[in-house]
Amino acid sequence: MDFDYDGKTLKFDKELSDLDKLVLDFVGLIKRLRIRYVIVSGYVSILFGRSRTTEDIDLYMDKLKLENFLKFFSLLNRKGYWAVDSESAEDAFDRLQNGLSIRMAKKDTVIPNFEIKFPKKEMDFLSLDSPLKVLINNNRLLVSPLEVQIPFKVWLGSEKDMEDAAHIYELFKEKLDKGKMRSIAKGLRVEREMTKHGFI
Amino acid sequence: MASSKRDMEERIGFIKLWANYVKNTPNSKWSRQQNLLINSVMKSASQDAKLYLRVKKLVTR
Repeated sequence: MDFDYDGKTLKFDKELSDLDKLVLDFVGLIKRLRIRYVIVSGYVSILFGRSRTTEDIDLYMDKLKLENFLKFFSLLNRKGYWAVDSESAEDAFDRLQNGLSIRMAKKDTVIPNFEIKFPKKEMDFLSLDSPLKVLINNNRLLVSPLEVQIPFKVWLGSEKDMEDAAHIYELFKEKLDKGKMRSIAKGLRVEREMTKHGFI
Repeated sequence: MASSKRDMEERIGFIKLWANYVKNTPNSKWSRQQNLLINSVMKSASQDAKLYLRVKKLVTR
């Protein structure tokens, strides 16, 4: 895999999948309104070649006031997206305010969809405040840092999550900040599990 | 339990094999192969919103 990585920015080119194109389209709309976001979870490993796909793309977004959220929701509607699990923009906002997620998908589809949440936990803010910038075919995406992604996946613990962690680790192990990863693993209390799988 | 652990070890073994293939292969080549999977699944996915939400509700209970 040909890439340039300096710890903050990872630059590479590849043939974009339909999933990649959809993600770039969606984040393009978020960026238009200058809303801070970060993509977390399964899509991050898929972006880097993991041999699976996903039904949804998880992302955290800055907590918005109602007025700004309505602008965002309206823009998504105009650009062909709909709320899969909300009756209205106000309903969607209420869900987010109450700590729930909302799902937005291209009209006439439900898969794949974007599962949007406001950050709640320290780990959420860690990714949102210091994301990894990915430049893919000169398009910019913000994703969870690899040193956060791996222990978080181990913490989630399903077979699929462990496999995602293993894929990212195997690809980038020579480039990872192992000290930072160990510190995050300690915070999540997954040091033993990480050591067992050879991640630290 | 022993069989499940062995299955997991075999799965992780494959994951490492594929990751090393991606690592040592030009981006255009591995991504083309990955896209065959991703694009075909996207094309064939059921788009029944009510079914999808019912399944999600069952899983998160």
